[in-house]
Amino acid sequence: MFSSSVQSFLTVQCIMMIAALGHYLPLSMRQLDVGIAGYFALGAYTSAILTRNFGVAFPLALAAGALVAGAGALLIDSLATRVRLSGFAYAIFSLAFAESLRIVLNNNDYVSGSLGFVGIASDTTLGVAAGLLAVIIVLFWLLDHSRLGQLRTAIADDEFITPQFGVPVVATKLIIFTMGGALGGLAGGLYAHYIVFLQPDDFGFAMLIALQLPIVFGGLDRFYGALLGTALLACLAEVTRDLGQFRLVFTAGATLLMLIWRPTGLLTHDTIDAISAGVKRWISLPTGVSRSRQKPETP
Amino acid sequence: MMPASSAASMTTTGAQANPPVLAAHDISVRFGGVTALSKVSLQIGAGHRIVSIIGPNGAGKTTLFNVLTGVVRPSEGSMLLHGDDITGTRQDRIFGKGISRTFQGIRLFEQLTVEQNVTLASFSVPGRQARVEGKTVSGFWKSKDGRDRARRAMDQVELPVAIRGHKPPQLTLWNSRMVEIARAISSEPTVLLLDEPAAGLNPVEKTKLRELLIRLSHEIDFHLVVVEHDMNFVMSIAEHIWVLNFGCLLASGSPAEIQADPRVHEAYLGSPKDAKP
Repeated sequence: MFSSSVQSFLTVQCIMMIAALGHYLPLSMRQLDVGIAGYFALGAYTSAILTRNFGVAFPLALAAGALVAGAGALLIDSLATRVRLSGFAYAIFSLAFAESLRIVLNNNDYVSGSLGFVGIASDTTLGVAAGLLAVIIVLFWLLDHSRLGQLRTAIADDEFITPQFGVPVVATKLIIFTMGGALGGLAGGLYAHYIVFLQPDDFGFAMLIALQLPIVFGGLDRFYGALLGTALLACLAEVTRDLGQFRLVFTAGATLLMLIWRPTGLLTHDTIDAISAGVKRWISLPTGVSRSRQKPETP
Repeated sequence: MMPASSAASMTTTGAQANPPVLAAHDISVRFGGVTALSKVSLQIGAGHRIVSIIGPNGAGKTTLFNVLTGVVRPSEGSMLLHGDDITGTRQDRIFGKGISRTFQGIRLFEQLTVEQNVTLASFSVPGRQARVEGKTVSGFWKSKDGRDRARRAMDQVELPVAIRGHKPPQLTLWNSRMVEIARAISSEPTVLLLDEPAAGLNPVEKTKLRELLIRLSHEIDFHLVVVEHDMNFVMSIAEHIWVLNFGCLLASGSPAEIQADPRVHEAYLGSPKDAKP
């Protein structure tokens, strides 16, 4: 259906979207866990080792990679929560984990260190990546409408008062962190079996920035902000391909402009509410339902 | 009227007849070198249904609420709820045991609807009867009982059905206040702490609020503790009053006793000798 280059582009974007959603989850609670590159690496190496060295089936290896990365996130965030880290201290802590893991992998002979891990089967296809992404999007939609989603929103709104209404905040945060880590690991597994070559330096600070930028562009308020941001940046990269190395300068300039023009990102709660109200109004007009139903209460 | 020295260790009138629901003993809170509360003792539910804590700004009223709800762990002292020691208990568990509160300045979850704000609390804990029977809830699932309690709470504060799907920024001050109270009573608490509930309301709304709180305290059968600066409101609703000043319990007594106490006047207005000529 697609040419091989388009297929390749779409597959990588699906993987990046899954990783961006994993990165989005803790940030959506306004918690600065930025260890996504580490969780991505855990998933990538775990699944690659399982398929190459132990002959484990690809789907099982993917699941195992996600589980290990989720467990890694749970461990890191349990430690951070235990010592009550918050804000930038949390960011530094989680970043330190990702960087430490990268250094350990670089010096580990079992995974061939900085020479790179080769011989991984090419199992990831566009269908697999897109199918998983579709399932994850449905799960995110369900999460938004679930009790856990409401607890997450409450923590993002006002973490101080949330426990005063019986909400087990630490447990809620750890569940969300684990889910985010597992998604990062799943994306890592898909990546490993698509690129078929792993080098620890691929999972460094540059990867964190690559997963943070979609959220800067798309916004933090809704999960589809991360999807929109990933798609926008991918298109931007393709459009500016001819600029060669100057492409990065162009991306940096676009990021600065976005931060100045719309620091909250393109999709915010207000944007979505306005679009939603507009659509409802448009739908309700032919049926004769009063527009006033959509209006806020008059003070 | 009790002298300040003894007020700190005394119960409210009628304490002998009814055991207290919530008792704080010698609570002290220090933030670094600042003493926010110093050996404050009080008993809630010992003969009075509605009580009030008053005092000038910075007297330690909100800190005391924070201690009672587990937000701040006291440096010294202990708290008993129905005779069980709850000192140092986690905030979410204290809420589950039946102590609920509102905040100085309205604090609602702005990205949740009115109904979600209320169910956030009601799904988290079992109702009073279930608590008595020792039942617990995970807090991660919705439940029919939690939804019923939330709807009952919203009905009790007469929140219009039409606004229950709205988000807090769309509400009037009165309705925002009602959402806060509905959220607090949706757990069917035994002690409800209200921090400046009348702030910003007009006289008609204050009267309405007073009638509502008295009605709710009977309907749900909870003990109400009100922190408030509006003395008319306090004097018209409270059966017993504690006065805090600089973190210490200055006086306690009936509204008439408090109104007649020169130390209370001095705490609010300053000593005559401090006045400049």
